[in-house]
Amino acid sequence: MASKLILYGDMMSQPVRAVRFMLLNHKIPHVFKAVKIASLEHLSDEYKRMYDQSKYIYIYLSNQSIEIKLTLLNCIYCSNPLHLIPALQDGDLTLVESHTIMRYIAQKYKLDQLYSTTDLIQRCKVDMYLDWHHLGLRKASTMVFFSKFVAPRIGRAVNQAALDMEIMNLQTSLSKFESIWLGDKKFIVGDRPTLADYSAFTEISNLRFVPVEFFDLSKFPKIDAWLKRFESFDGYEESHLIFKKVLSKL
Amino acid sequence: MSKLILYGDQLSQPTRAILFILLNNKIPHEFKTISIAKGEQNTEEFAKINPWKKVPVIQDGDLTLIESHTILRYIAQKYKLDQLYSNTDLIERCKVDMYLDWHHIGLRKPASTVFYFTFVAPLFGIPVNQELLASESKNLQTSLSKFESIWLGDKKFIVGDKATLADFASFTEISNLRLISNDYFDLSKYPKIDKWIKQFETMDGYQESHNIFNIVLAKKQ
Repeated sequence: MASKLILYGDMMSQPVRAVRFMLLNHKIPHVFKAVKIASLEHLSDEYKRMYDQSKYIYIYLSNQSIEIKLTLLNCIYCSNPLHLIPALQDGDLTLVESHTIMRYIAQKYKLDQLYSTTDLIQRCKVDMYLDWHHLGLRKASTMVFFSKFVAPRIGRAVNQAALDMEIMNLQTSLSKFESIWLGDKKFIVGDRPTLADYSAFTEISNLRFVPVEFFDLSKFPKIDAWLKRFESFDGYEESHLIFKKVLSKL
Repeated sequence: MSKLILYGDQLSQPTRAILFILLNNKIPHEFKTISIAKGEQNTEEFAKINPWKKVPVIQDGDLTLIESHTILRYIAQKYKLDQLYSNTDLIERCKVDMYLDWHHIGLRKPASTVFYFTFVAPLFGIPVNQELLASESKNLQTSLSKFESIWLGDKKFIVGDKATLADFASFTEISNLRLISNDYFDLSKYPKIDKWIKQFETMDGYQESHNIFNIVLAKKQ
């Protein structure tokens, strides 16, 4: 384990926060390199100021256009042709996709309570949520977040038909998250948080940016209690620094 | 050892991916049809098996699993199908996982939306959301280009010379698009995908897992 992990990402991205939060929580040595999502640039002065002080490259949310601001980080793009963040480098290995990155870290560092290296069925319980997450929650939550928070601040048009559908889907997703994934358990798989919880936590807590009519925690008391459990965890403050500053300006 | 029971509909892409792998690797199993067209996934009886009322589902003794990628990983690890998903090499697993995780929003979201609006909706007289169809149709072309140039590139399969879980999951999703109009899925634009698809058609288990699919496809042509 000669090399140190390098995580590339933007702390305003939910999957990046999930990876960073688990790294910090488990005190895994790593270097964090900021890669800025350009469409979030005009989000707030606070966000802009924090990033203008750090070294960054631009990455656009749209599919094709990438403008590399600092060629310093060029290497990551040779091995990351999809231009996705988060990206993780560990020596010669480059990984994308946050769930893959989290599974890798948990297995490499034997963080068995997050994702068991010895028990296939325990892994499957985590995998079920992680696989459901993409289309079950994230498709709806990112659409609502983008349309209700990002788009109006950057003057971007919204696909109203798709938005109406995803607003409805989001309520269904949250109800199912509350009643089926959480149910009467403390965390998704049981008494302790797993990778599934970290991924879901950053996605759901991100909805604090959207108006309460689209994300009303008083309707989801179990989700509310579950969210609060994370806020006293080691690594929460550091991984949510920018998130909280942007939130406090609302 | 109990026999695996797979609940699914052979017109569902994720169901076909699992069935194809089970047959290809000669894993003993029982297939129980839950017809989506008849709404059988919504019955109270099925909800007892899967409260999400979705297919595919597998039962292995007391264990019930949902989500096709979880099911695929489970089968590959339980039966030690190392070339599909390595039991011993973490990095090899990560290479497969990267695709499987990208698949949901990277490919399946546009592919299943375009399929729904251009194949399912007209069949059942469901109104088509033209704006959504237009934007997902554009996304689908981007996804297929990336699949062709990045995920496949010059390799035979996604990770290398042999098919992994990633290929089976993407094969059933992409080949499913043959049911829709050429306006939305034109394989002549994607020669590498075309060649890759053909590799599956001679594999063991293809015919049996694609029996019903091929009957529906023949009606289109």
